[in-house]
Amino acid sequence: MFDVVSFLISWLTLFGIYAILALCLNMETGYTGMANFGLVAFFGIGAFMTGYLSISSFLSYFGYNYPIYSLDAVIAMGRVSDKNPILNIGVFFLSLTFSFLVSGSVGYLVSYPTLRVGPAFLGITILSFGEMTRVFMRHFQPTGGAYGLLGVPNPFAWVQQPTLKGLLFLLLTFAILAAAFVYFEVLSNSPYGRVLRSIREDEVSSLCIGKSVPAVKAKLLFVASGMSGVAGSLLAFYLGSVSPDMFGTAVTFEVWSMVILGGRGNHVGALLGALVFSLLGRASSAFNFLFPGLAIDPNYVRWMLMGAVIVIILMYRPKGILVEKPVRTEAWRVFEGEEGRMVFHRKIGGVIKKALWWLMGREVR
Amino acid sequence: MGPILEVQGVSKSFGGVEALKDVTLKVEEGSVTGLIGPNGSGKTTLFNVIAGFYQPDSGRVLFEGRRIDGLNPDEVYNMGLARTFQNPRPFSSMTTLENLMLSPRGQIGESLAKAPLRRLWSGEEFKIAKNIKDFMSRVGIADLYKMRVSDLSGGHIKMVETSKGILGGARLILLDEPAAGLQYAVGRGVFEYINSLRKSLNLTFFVIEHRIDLLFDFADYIYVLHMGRLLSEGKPKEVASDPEVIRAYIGG
Amino acid sequence: MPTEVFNTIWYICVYSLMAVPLTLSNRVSKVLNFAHGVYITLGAYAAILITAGSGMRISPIVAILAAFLVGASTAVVTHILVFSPLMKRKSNPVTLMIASMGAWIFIKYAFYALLDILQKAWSTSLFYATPNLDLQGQVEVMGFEVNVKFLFVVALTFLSLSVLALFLTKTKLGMALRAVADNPDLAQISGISNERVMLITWLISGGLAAVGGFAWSLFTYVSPEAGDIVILQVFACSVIGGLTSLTMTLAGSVVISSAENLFILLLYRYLGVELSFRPFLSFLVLLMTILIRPPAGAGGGLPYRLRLRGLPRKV
Repeated sequence: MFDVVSFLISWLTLFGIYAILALCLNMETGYTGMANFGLVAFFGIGAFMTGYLSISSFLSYFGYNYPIYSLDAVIAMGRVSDKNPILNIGVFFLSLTFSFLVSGSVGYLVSYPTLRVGPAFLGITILSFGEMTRVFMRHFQPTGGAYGLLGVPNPFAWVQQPTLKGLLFLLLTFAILAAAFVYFEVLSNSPYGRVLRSIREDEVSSLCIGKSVPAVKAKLLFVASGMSGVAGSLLAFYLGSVSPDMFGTAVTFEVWSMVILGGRGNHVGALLGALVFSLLGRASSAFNFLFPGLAIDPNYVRWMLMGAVIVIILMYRPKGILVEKPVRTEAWRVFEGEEGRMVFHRKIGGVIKKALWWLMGREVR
Repeated sequence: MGPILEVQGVSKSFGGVEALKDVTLKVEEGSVTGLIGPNGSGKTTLFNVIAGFYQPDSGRVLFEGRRIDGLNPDEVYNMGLARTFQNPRPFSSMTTLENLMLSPRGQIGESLAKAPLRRLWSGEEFKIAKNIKDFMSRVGIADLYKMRVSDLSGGHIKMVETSKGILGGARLILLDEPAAGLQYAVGRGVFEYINSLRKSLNLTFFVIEHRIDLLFDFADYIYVLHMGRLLSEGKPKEVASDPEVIRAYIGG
Repeated sequence: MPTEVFNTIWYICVYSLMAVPLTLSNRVSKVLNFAHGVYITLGAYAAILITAGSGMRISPIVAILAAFLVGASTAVVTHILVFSPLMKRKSNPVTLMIASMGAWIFIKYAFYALLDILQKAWSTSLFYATPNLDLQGQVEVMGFEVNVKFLFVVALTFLSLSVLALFLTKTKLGMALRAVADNPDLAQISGISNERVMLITWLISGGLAAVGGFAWSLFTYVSPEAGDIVILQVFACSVIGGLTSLTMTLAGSVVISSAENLFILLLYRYLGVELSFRPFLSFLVLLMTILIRPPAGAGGGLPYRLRLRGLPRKV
């Protein structure tokens, strides 16, 4: 039987997580022109750091001494993860922060070697970095090696009703997504956003106009990688487990296709791309479940579509579906006068005022 | 009024090719100083060294009494030394306004930490925009503000390019062939504009130019480079009649 | 022959067959083709599909031809459908790189689907296979027992690369290729059709990489992931060659192969590092190459020197 509600919840939660990734990639490549082909590394690092911290803190709080990747640990987690709501939620936020910091720092460090090389070499290097992180994690025993970690405590594990639990987590994910969206949006509509775009357009020219390009890139990479880590953290909590093979290069491509579809320099576009491709992903799994034994595996179709979309969009609408708008700051107002006020509520205010005047039978000016 | 820029014994080689050899010159504050020489004589390389693209192999560069050789291009700009490129490098898909708003140095809103807090930088932003609006009106390009630079005409793009350094409060501007590709009248207009700025804003210009006829009408002092070395220097009239210079141009 | 030496030589052959065409295609078209791995996979599977479908053994010559054809045609089609239109629109290199990734994903999963269908139709397992060739037995060389397949691969590599070298240096078309690589505008003026040169380049590039894939399949069971498993090492070899020099790419394959087969053993013996850590070594080599000796053309970087900041004091 097909459960629409749980399909929706799973789709939207994954949408939320991938949307954060898409926003991060958009900041890196759409705004700043840094083609990050190793995004998955920060995603994975965030997920693993969360797994590590959350399981370790739970185990030590309840007095267990097992290594986090052992079977004993998994069993223990099963027993205690729904006992203390405050602990769950506290550990959740702590892990999110920890993942942000670790992923962010790695991103910051990675930016330095990539400073002096041109785009072709940069692409290979970052791609390799992403893959190497995965290979490394496969061998890194303390986080479970190739098997990864199980038993990551969901912040709402103490909620008995599964649908409610899923819904609460979805809302939490959306809240974090909204925060990320607002933050990036505010960042982009400021002189800082202008600097980022100038780096994308011509970084040498930007350097010559006094912008400290490598420093700007490194700091941006810190924030964007950190947020990617947060997305990874959310994934870890959502799935309850992490394993290195979940973080292959395929993930990077998925996020890239989202950003390419939605348009660079456009946060709403990133969300749109995430919506479309996460739906595609969920739908193909659902298809597989509902119609087993199809001639062509829907999963393959999904990836083929993704590849085709990338090529088609690059060919016909390289800037994406949604257009990039110029940076809206006070400067705009100086030139446009009062009409330049793009502030939403003022526009609505103007419309309401006109409506009221019309109602009162006065001349509408 | 002393020298605003001093190049002392600068040499630079690239893989065995000596692009600059022991070049020494001074640019007086408030002047229009010209740099001429046949193609390949090292003029742009000298500009690149001054602007921080390259570190000289030997020698020093002093700006307002401070050593700037070895500084990176952004640091050089922030000290008040701007440069333009022969082929303009504007930020094409951004609007004219945005391009110009990038020039001022040390904007508060440009830091990652401060950008989300609008209140911190909106005042400064407003002031800068007003300043730019005045400037654009005076120069006659005010209604271009919202056009993407890629849609502007070649002449306008050059104007935007040249304005960037000025709006950034630079005191010395390196101009790389400002009249290149322009008709005589337009080129002359550019030089007249430079001249008026020199007086009104007390700027100094160091200009590479191939159009010697134009340059010599406006320049106070000329340096001639040939094969990486300083061949001659002096007031325009002196240089124009220097037989060595003439030989270099015809021969090289 | 000690296994390590055998492995090293074999890997050198296979990597060079795969990496040299990548460098070539990059040098001529200026596109870093991420779909290159797919040519390898398809080449590996060409012979397998023939033998599995027909149930017969085939001669290695037929297998090589099949692989070459498959790789060459895929590369040419990719160019016509993807690279050519984009190049006409003057897209920048990063766009082309991303487009090649799109092509990579598309072809890879289309092939997966194809394998699925064929597997069901022929009722044989295809996801992990090796071709059934007329190439068996051992031969004695210089006192060592050597597998015929090994000799075959070495000979194949030597011949292919020599033919390629001769083509590029002695034939008119080959020299046209190099002209377009070094100076496309000038080449256009001298009457060489750039488009034709591109097609030939992709033909060679895809074909040779596919032959590399075939060589790979002789000693291991391959899966549709075959290309992706080796692609990063292949890129590393090309990077050592600066993405432009074919001879340096060959040297690169020697370096990477030695790192992965000989050096790893040293690490294993003295530091207890696991053998499956191999790809990590290649990545380190790649990273070090880029940092220490950025190859010519790695430029496009910033004229910026990292140093401690601080305003200079008055002189």
